[in-house]
Amino acid sequence: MKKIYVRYISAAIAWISLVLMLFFSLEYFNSSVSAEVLKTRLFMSTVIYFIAAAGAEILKTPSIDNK
Amino acid sequence: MNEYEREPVPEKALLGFKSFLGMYAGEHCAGTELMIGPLFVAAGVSAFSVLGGLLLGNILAVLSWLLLTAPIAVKMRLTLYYQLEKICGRKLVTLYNLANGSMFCFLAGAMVTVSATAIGVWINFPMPGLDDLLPNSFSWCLAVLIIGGAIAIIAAAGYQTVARFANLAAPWMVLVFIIFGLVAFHDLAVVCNFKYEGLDSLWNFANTELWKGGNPLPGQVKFTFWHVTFYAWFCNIAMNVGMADLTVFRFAKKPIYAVATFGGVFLGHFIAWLSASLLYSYQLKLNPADTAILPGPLAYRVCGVTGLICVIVAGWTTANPTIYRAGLAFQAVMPKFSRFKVTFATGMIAAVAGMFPAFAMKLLDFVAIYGMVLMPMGAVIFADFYLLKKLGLKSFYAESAGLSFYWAAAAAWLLTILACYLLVALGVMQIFFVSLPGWFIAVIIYLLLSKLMQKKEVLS
Repeated sequence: MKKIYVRYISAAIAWISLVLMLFFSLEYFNSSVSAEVLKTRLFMSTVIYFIAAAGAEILKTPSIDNK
Repeated sequence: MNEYEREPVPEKALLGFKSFLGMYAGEHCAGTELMIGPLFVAAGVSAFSVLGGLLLGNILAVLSWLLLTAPIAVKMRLTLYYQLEKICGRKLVTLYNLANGSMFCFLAGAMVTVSATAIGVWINFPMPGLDDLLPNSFSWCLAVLIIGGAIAIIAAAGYQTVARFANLAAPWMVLVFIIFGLVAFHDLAVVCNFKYEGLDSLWNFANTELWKGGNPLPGQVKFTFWHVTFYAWFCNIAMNVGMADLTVFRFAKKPIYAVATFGGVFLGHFIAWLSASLLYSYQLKLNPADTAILPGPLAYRVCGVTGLICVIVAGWTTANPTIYRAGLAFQAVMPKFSRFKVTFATGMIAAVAGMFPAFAMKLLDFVAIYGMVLMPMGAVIFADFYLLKKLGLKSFYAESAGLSFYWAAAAAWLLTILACYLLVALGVMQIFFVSLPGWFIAVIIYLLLSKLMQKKEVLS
C-alpha cells in the first residue's frame, strides 16, 4: 500500500479515537457506565491516539519520504 | 528556515488564518490552566463572577490583540525585539530580554511543579499544600529536579522534536481538558444528588456547589467579577498589550487574523479553567479539609491514568517552549555561550524555581506581576507608533540618533513599574488591576520624556 494511504488511515484512526473519547465521556455523563470502565476506555483511546497520530506524523516527515 | 529576525517579513512568507488558529488553540491549553481554575474556586468566586468575568475578560483580551498588537505587527512586520531595538537601542533591549527571560523561567518553574504533582500520585511523597511557599520535603524537591532536569535536557537538545510532539498532543489535550469538566460535573452532580429540572435548577446548582462565592479559603484574595475579568484580560498582557506577539502577527496577511486568538483563549482560558475549577470543587465536596491544589491527584481522581498523562504532557509541552524562549532571551545577553548550555542552565533554574510551590500556588499573583513588568514596553511601542509623529517627534529614535540606550523608553518602563508597585504597596489598588493605569502612565512618561530628550538635529 502506498505510504500516503497509510498516513491517511493513521490520521483517521487518531481522529476516530478522539471522537470515541468524547463519546465514552458523554456515555458516562449519562450514567450508563462506571467510572472504572470510563477510565480504562479513556486510557486505551489515548494509547491508540498517540500511536496513530505519531505514525501519521512520522510518515509526513520529508526525510522518510526521501528514503 | 529564515525567521526574518532583522528585516520585515516579505509577502511570500505570510501565513493564512488557520496557522494562527492552530497555534493559539494549542498554546493556551497549558499545564498552568490546571492551577488557575482551582485557584479561582479557592478565591471564592461565584458562578456569575467566573462565567461572566471570563467571558468579558477574554473578549477584552481578543480585542487587545486585534486593536493594539495586530495593526502594528502587520504594518511594520518586525519582531518585538527588532522593533524595540529601533525605539530603545540595543542595550535597553538586552535589559528587557533579561527581565523577559527571568519571567519565562519562573513561569516554566510553575509548569514543572504541575508536572511533578502527577509523579506524586504514583510515588507517595508529601506534596505542597495551598499555603506552602517553600519546598516541604526532600522527596518533593528530588521529584521536581528529576522532572525539571529531563525537561531542561530535552528543551536544550531536542526542542523541535518536542514542539512536534506538542502539536500532535494538542487536540488530545484540549479534549481531555473538556472531559475533565464533563466527568467532574457528573461526579459532583451524583454526590450532590442534583437532578436537572430546567435552567433554574442548573444555575442554582452552579451557585451552591460549583462556584459557591462567599469567603475565599484562608490566605487567598477574594475574587469578584472584576477580578476574574481583569485576570482573564491581563493574564496574556505581555503578549497583546505588551506587544510580544508582534513577532507572531508580523506573518499575518491582515490584522483581522488576530481574531484567531479567540480560539485559544476560549479553549484555554474559558473551558480549561472552568473544567479545572470543577475538578477542585469536586475535591472540596468530597473533603472540605483537602484544600491542596495538586493537578496530578485532581486529574487522576476523575480520569485515571489518562488524567495523569494529560497533566505531565500539558506541563512538559508548555514548559519546553517557555524554557526555550527564556534561553533565547538569555543568550541574547550572553551571546558567547552556546544555545544548548544557556537553554539547559535556564531549564535547571526553572527546575529549582519549580521546587518552590510559591510560583504555582501564588500563580494568580505571579501572572499579574509578570504582565505588569513587561506591559510598559508595549505602551512605549504603541506611543512610538501612533503618537510621536502627531506630536512632531521621531519614531524609532534610538535608530535615528544612533543610541544604544534611549533613556525616555527606559524611564517609561522602570518608572511605570515603580508607580504600579507604589499603587499596590500603598493599597490604592490590587496587583490584578494595576496594569490598566500602568499602561497610561507608561504612555504619558514616554511622550513627555521624548519631548524633552529628542534633539532638534535628529528631528530635522
